[in-house]
Amino acid sequence: MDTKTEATRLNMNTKQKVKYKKNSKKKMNWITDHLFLFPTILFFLIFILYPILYNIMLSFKKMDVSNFMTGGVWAGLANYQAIFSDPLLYKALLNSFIFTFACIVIEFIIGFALALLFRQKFPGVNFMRGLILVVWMLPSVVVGVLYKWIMAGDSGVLNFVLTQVGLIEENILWVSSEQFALIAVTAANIWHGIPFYMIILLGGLSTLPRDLYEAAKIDGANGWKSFLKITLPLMKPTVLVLLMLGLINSFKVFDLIYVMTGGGPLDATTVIPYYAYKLSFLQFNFGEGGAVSGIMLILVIILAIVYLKLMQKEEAN
Amino acid sequence: MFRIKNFLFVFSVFLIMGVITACSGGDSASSSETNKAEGSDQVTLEIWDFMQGRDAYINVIEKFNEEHEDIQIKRTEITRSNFDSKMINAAAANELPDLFVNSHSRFQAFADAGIAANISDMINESGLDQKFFEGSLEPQIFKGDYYGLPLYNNDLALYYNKEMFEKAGLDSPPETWEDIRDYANKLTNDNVYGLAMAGSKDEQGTFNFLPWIWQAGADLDTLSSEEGVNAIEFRQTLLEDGSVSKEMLNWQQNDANLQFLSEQAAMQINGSWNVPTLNKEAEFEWAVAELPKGKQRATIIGGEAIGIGSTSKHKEEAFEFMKFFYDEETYKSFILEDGNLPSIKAIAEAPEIVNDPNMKVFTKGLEYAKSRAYGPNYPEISAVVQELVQATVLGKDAEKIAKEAEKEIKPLLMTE
Repeated sequence: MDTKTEATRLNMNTKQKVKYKKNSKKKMNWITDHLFLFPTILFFLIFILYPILYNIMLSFKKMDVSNFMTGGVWAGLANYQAIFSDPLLYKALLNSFIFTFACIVIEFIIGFALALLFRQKFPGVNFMRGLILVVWMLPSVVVGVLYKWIMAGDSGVLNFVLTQVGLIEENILWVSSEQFALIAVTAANIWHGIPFYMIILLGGLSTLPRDLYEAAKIDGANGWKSFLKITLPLMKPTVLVLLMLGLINSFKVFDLIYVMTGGGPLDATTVIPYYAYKLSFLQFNFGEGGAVSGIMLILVIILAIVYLKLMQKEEAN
Repeated sequence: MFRIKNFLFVFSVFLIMGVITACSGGDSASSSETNKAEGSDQVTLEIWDFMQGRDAYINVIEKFNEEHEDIQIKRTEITRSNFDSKMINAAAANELPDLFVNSHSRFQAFADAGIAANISDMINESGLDQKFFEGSLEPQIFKGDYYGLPLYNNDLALYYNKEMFEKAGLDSPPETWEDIRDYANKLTNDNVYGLAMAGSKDEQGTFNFLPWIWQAGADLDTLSSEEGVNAIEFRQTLLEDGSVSKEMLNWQQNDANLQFLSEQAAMQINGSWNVPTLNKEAEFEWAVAELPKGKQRATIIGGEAIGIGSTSKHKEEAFEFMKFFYDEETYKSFILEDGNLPSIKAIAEAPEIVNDPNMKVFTKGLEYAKSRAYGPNYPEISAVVQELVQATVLGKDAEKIAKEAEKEIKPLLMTE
């Protein structure tokens, strides 16, 4: 009797202990797991969430040179009202739209053409591909300075070449006239962005099965047809990702414009990010600058949602 | 629930750890500072400026560092166009430098915003203010108190290439607006523009625009008057004639001087600081003349001033540097090498300045030069003028842009 109860007691004890041990081990594991997450969470909180929240708070405050030292005063929706009644907002939106649209379309077409070209094997292909990638490695500031000089009105090499060839008679003021400035910065950005499109598309192309093309050839499809019926549909996921990345990349352009034209002449090249910069750091109207950033945030969030939806659909397929 | 609680626990552990490390970091930093202080009593002052490549100025700082074991000055160079925003950001983050050098046109705004420290007591005690021309002290005075001291002054005048003038059959510099238009036309050919000046979208654009308005007999609150519109239209005629490049839209004063130095412009409107450079590097004969007369003579007074950051913990030490700077010997060698006009009376009589015919023109200009004393809203006013300059160069309707600018500027002047 005694021994039996003793045994059961012991048994229960060990069981309990085991259970307890198991539990604590689990708990420890769980803690270690989450410890690994900590740096990411900290990074996210400090460098992403905090600035965004601070910016949103700023957009509801009146804050300028006279009162920023004391933290500004709450102003409700006044900043947003001021922004929406400023014609420059609509001009900047239009400029951003033209800039982004032109960049994506042209970069995509040229990037795709280059990707198809560099997929072929010919002498020097690797070297040339590497050379194009050098462009991508240049910082935007360098590209901006480069193009500012190339496109300078009186002494730029572009005007020189164009006059020599006979395409133009008088020098075109690429960066200092209202008609051409936006074209000039768009062109510079396209030149800078093409290699990115090319390399992503090239990566996508290399995953396509060769045998499909062989089968198509046997069935009598020509090159154009197999491009339309095989390449394009199979590339759809890559293209979707690429367009979305390209959209966000072109939309947030700032440094190139800052260097080349400073948003001018007369706001001809002021895009949304530059508009926010202008309000905050040239006119020191931090509240309104914050409001523009807020609008930008909403636009980018909409884009991100569209992107996620598209990706979900793709994955379901 | 358990999971969330656990998570919060882990998280708070880390937060606490973070706080602890942060604190200990602070501790070690402050302890090292005190160590230093105990060892040599050394204070390091920060100075922010945009004096790229201005050796004369940099030499003064180096000399100060050599002669002072207890105070060392560390320089940070910021571009002129970013300077104001850097200062304002630093003020918001409570990280203002101990000393800063900025255009004197910014000091009233900086005083109003609480960025520049009120240094009246230190100045009055030292009697330093007695050394200066009264006019050059004014831009740094806000509501009767000193917020800075003028490093130097300058004004705009007309540089002209004597050789090109001879070739075009001209023997004297232009006297009036009609003259300058006529001369610029005659001097312009395929490779040379008659006149170069700055029109960039920053303070320099405003600086090079205001004299024209004043010469015409208008001011910022009367831009849309006949005289104001005249000034804008006259600048537009120069551009339409083709004797001024439309690229001036992107030109700063440096760029204008580069055009002149490389003989791509026969005349330029620029400040006295180019005299030493041109003396050294120009391969042609040149001279300086007063700006041509419109309805009246006018030029603009410019210059940089030095101030102390309002949050500086070492204001006394910073003021030591100011006193050092305005020591007559030091200041004289600085001014002569830097090519600006002295703000100290004693140096203005130096033979090197009095006997230089070109510098004499600039000194004479000070007699009728106007300052940009438009109150604490001046940075915003200047932003409007910069837009106006751009619109002028782009050939917009003079009357319309003048009216728009005046409408924006007037309320900014009122709140003075």
